[in-house]
Amino acid sequence: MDEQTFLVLLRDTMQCEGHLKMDMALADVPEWDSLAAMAALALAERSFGRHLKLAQIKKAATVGDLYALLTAH
Amino acid sequence: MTPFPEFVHVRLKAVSAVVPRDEVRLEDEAAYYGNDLRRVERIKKMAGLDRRRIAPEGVTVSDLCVQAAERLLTETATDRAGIDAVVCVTQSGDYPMPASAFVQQERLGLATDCAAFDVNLGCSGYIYGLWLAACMIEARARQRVLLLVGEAYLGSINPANRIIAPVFGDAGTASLLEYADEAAPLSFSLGSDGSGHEALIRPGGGGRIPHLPGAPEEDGYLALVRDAGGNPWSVGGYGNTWMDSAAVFDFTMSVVPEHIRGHLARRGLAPADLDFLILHQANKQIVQNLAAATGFTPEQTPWETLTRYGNQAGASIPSAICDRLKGRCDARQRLHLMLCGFGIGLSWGSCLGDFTGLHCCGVHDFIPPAATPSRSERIAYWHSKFAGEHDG
Repeated sequence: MDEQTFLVLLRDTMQCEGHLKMDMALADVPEWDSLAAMAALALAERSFGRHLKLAQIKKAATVGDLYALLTAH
Repeated sequence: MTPFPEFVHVRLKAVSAVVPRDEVRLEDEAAYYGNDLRRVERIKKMAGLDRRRIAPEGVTVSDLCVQAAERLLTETATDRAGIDAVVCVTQSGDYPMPASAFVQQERLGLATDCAAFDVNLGCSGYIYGLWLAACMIEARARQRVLLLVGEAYLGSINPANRIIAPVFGDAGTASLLEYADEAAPLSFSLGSDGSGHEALIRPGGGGRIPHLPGAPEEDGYLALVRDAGGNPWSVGGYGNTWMDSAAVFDFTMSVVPEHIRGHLARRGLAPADLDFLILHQANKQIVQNLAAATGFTPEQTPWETLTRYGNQAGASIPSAICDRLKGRCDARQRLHLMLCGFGIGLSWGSCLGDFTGLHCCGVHDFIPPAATPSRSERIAYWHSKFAGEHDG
C-alpha cells in the first residue's frame, strides 16, 4: 500500500479531523489516544494481516513509524 | 488429550433479560470530555459506547435476576417445583456472604431440595454457567437448572473514571436448561490464564488487602491515584475496579480468535455453517475485530446490545440473544449459534449448538417494587436485629 493511501485509511480509522503526514509526531495528533491505538491495531490485523500488540503500537513516535510497523513483512 | 465433551441430553429452553430503568447516555456526561460533543461522537462511533443502564442504590443482582426469572417461568409455564438447581454467576452479589442464589431460591419459591450456589465470574461467566448446568444435567445429577447471570455494581463506580464508567451496564438474566432424551449436540471449550489476574481486578476489600478499621484514612487504601488521562483509581472504596484496557485488548485478540477457530474445527464446522456468533459485548472494536479475524460476517456478529445497554459482563451474551434474536427464536427457524465470552481471570469460553426452538423473553425494564426500604432503614433493621429486637 502506498503512503498516500495509508494516510487516508489511517485518518478514517482514527476519525481524525485534520490531515496526516508521514513526518507528523503522533503526540501532535489530537486524536491519538487509546481508542486510536486499538483502531490502528485492528487496521493492522484487517488490512495487513499483521497481529501486533498495543505496546508495539504505542512505541511508534510518528505517523511514518506506524506505516512502517503496520506494513512490515 | 484435552476433554472436549459434547452434551446430547441438554436443552437450553428459554432466556430472559431485565435491565434497570435508569439510563445514562454518553452525551449526558459531556462535561468529562470538556463539553466537546465531537469527542463524545468519536467515542460513540469508534467504541460503540452510548447508553447504559444503572441500578439505583439498593437494587441488587437478585432483584434484577429474579424479575427475569419470573417472566421466564411464567412465559414457559414451568413448574418451579421441578427446578432442582439455581446457579448465580455474578461478581456483585447482594451480600459478601451468603451466596445470592439462596436469596433467589427463596424469592422464586423454589423447593428446598434445590441446590443453590454462586460462581464468581465476569465476562466469560455465561459460558461457564451453561457448561456447569450442562454437566449437572448430562450426568443426571440434576433435571432442570435455572442459571441466573447478572451484575449490579455500577453505583459503586466513580463516574469520573472514563475507562470504567462509560463501559459497563447493570443487568440480570435468567436461562433455563433441562434434560431431554434426545438433544442436538452442545459442545463447550473453556480456558483460563491466571497470569493475567491483575489486568481486571478489585485489589482491595478481599483477603489480600482487607478493609481494616481505622486504617483506610492513613495507609492509602482509599487514596485516589490518577493515570496520565486523569482517571482516578483506588485500591479500596468507591470505584476501586482496575482495568488495564491494553492488556485485556491484547489478551482478547491473541487468544480468542484461535479459540473460536479451534472449537469450530473440532466440530468440523465453518463460520458459514452457523447463523450467529454471539460474542461478549465488550466494545464495538473488539467484536468487529474478532468477527473479521475468525471469518464471520458483520451480519452474523451483532454488537449493538453494547450500544443500547452497555457492557453487561457475564449477562451480555444472554442479553444480546434477547435483544437481537427475539425475532429468530421460533421453532420454524433454524438457530445454530456459537456463544463466546472472555475477560476477567483472565478466562474465556465458547458454546456451540443448535438452539432452534429456544424461547426468548426479550429484554425488559426492571419494575421497581411499590416500596423499597432506604439504606438507613436497612441499616436500622440490622441494628434492631443485632439488639435482639426480632427475637420471639
